[in-house]
Amino acid sequence: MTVEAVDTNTYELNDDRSIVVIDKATVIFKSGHVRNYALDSVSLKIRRGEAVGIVGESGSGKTTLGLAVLKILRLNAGRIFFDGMDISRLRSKKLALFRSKTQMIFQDPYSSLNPYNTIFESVATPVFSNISRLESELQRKVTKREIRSMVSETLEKVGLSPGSAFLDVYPRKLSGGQRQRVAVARALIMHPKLVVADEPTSMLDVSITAQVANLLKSLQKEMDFSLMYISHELSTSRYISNRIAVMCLGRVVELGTSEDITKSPMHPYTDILIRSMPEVSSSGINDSIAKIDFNAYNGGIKGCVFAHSCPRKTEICTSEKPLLQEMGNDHEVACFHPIIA
Amino acid sequence: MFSESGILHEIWSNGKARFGMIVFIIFAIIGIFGHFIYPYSPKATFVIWQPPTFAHVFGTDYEGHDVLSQFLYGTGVSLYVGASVALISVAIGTMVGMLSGYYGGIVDNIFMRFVDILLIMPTFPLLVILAAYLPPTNNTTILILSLLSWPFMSRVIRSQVLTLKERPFIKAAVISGMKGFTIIRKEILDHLMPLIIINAVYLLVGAIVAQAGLAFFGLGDLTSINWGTMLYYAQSEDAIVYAAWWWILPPGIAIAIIGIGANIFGNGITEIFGKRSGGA
Repeated sequence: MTVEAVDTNTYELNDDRSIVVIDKATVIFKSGHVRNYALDSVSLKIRRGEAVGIVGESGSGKTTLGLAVLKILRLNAGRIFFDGMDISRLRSKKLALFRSKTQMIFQDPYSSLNPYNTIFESVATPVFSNISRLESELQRKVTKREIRSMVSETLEKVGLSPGSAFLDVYPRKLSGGQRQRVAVARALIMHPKLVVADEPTSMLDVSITAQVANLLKSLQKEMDFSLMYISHELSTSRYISNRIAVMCLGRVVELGTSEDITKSPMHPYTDILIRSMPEVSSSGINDSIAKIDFNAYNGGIKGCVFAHSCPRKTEICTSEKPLLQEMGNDHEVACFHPIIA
Repeated sequence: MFSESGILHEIWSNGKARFGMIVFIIFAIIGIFGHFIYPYSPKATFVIWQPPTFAHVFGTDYEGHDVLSQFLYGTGVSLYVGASVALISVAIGTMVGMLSGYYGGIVDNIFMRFVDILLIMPTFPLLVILAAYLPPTNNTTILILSLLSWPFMSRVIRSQVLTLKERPFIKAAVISGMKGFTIIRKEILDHLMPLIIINAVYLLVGAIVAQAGLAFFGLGDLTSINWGTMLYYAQSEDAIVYAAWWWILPPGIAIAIIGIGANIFGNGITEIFGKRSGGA
């Protein structure tokens, strides 16, 4: 099998099939003179109407990637394109347009809704923020009554019915699952093209997790937006996403279809991640999960981020940086010694 | 803006806050009506150093002024000074604090270095110097006290905004395309209300005490009748030597009560909003 590195020169930046093109995005957090690479030259494409799962442990940079794509965080190096536009150059009108097409669902439904605003006020935020463009598109004034019915329809779409009963309620009256549905409604009301969901189920009960995951999956199909599903958990991620990117310490180490990633992982890190997932049927939990030495990670790692606890490590792993390589069937892996079944 | 039942209802249902409210309402009534309704003209003179009688319930002072009339009339003046200072300081302090905290960067730097300059100056001596050189009117006193009160307020507000703006619902608003000023007004201001209310109340009391303090040193408008000037004359005309307790007690106790009221009110407000955000 011939293995060829992704040539950065041929990495198509104006790819029509992709809504988001991330090109060598790097984010560095400085604490004192220590430089932590939250994102270390990450390249990734999200196609139109596709759900991409970003999987990794805490500190792998997955949330940072999500925030960078939404232009909440500035990149230290690299570029991110949304719909062919470099998002770092967006100003005023174009930025407003970008904001109307991108949305986020947060991890904690308790802090992502302002306790002083009613459900109507929260969900209608994207509408009010884009009211002038909406009115010029429709060529007429939009009344508050219309917005109320719009919000109530969206609430019903996310399973809060009757929607009108929730409009003037404050978030503290709702359960965690209901709040997360409200957050989903706020994200979808303006029909965005891209939604970043940052562990939307991790703070919910197991039964509600399934509901919210199902809701996201069906809405994603129905409304045809691209979804960036950030999670530390492979099972829901696999269920929701078409493709999965596995991140480790700021780098994407493996990228492929959900099937391939979970059934035949090629990167040893992914392999260990999958095997360490607790299974209900088994009696014990395999705790052989990678012990990542964060101290080693200062100023950028020269070799592979996983080298020090990798069972397949050789000399080259600590001296050279592995690049993502196409292994066939859209499966890319950044490893010198991939597991090939 | 707040909840189904409204903020006033919630203040009223908290014992401490209600106590504070009642104190303020009583003083407000005395202040507003006492300014026009009093038994004698506050400048009219009667028999001097007269202890309380039915004709002069709080007695008379060294020139024979009726102390009750002076107290009723002066309450309004003291409250006017206190409320004006509170209003001006809260307005400036909140604006500067919110802009500084939310926008950060150069805006923050410019505002906060200016605030630093005002904060490092020893307040009371500066107050005394300014009061000595500017024309002695109540409005001058208001101006000086406001100028020196808002910096602290802006610091308090700024630090609160700094933590608030990291909360996910602010990120959600940014992502939804909300503009900076709208975020400040719609998403942040409500969270600052307890701080604003408490600080306004403390500023009001602080200004009354500071004005009394200035008057005690013979600064400010000594022809104006208020709690401060009453105490100033009581001291300078040796009310203690004459054992004229009836002259010292009304303004003294009034200042003490309004101070206690403000503190208890502040505690109540903290409880209300603590409960509120806890359940949020």
